[in-house]
Amino acid sequence: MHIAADQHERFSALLDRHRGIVFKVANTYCRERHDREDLAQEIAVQLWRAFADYDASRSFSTWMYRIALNVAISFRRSDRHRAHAEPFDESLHDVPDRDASDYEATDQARVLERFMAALDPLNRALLLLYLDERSQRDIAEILGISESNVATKIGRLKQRLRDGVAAGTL
Amino acid sequence: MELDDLKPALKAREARSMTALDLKLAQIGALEKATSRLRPLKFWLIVQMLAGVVFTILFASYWSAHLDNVPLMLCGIVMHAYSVLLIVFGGIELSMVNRVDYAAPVVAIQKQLARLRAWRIRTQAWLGLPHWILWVPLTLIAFNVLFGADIYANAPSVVAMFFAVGIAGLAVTLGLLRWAREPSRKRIGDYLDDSAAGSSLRRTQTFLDEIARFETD
Repeated sequence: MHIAADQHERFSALLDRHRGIVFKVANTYCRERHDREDLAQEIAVQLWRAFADYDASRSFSTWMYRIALNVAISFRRSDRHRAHAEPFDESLHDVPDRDASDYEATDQARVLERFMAALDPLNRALLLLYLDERSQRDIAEILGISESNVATKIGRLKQRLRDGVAAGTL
Repeated sequence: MELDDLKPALKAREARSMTALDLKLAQIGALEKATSRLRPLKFWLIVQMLAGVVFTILFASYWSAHLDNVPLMLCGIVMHAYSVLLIVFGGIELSMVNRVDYAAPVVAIQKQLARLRAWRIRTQAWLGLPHWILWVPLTLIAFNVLFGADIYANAPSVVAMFFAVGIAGLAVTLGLLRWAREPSRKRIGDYLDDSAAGSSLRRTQTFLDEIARFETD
């Protein structure tokens, strides 16, 4: 009982410290608020289920990212959520202040959303990890591909973004 | 605009979502409750296997007791074989489900999940479509066990009619599925696909191809 309570406490503290990962992943794979909440909750459930096997000598955030991304991709692929349209959620994606500097931020936010939406689930995961400034080694470990493959794919994403912006499709 | 220019946008989005999503992520009680909701899949697979074991015993004892009556013996053997399939398919799927470890690398797990999904879609069809035929031996056995009647011995034409109905039903089901998948009937096809295997299987295969490209590119 005491061990279980300790584990709850440890889990809660770690989850609280790294909760940004849950939000980032939920935002990346769901644009509708209700879906985002469902996904965030499902990620938390799976994290809790897997926590007993978590090896504390390894990075918690890497472990968390793997679970969160696996849950998110499965969540999006499930029939329940596949059919949903993805309306643009203004509350999440718009910057509320409208001074000049925020127009650039708004523009970046819109490009980010459109670019994310145009990618398949695995490339979306790669983009998220890159933008979250994870190292190539981390990205390779989380996704399970080689570091050189990560570098190649990031190069392609960069080119794709440039092309999309130049063509006005993003 | 360069890819790195989007990093602030990701951070800003995360900051907004922190307040937008009213989550109680760390409430262990709620998590445990939700975790228990995820168990039905394994539960139903175990039920399927247990049912398979019970049916295997029942039908094995039935056909071995009717060695002198070939039609009834064959009915028992067919049902026995189907019961074994229930156990085998349930066991394979359960072992696939048990091997899914969400903490493993994303590409490996997504591949595993896609294969599991493809397997489920196929086995559902393999286990479901034969019902059009299996109801006949099951009916013959049921009448024999419950009423001591041997339908085949007394009215073989009725059994032939049963089979004709089953084969026709199977043919119509397969034909309907094929007909609905013609591009000109996309809406009907999509509707049927929500509950049938074809499109789900294609989507799963497409995703497996995507994974393969992602791994090797």
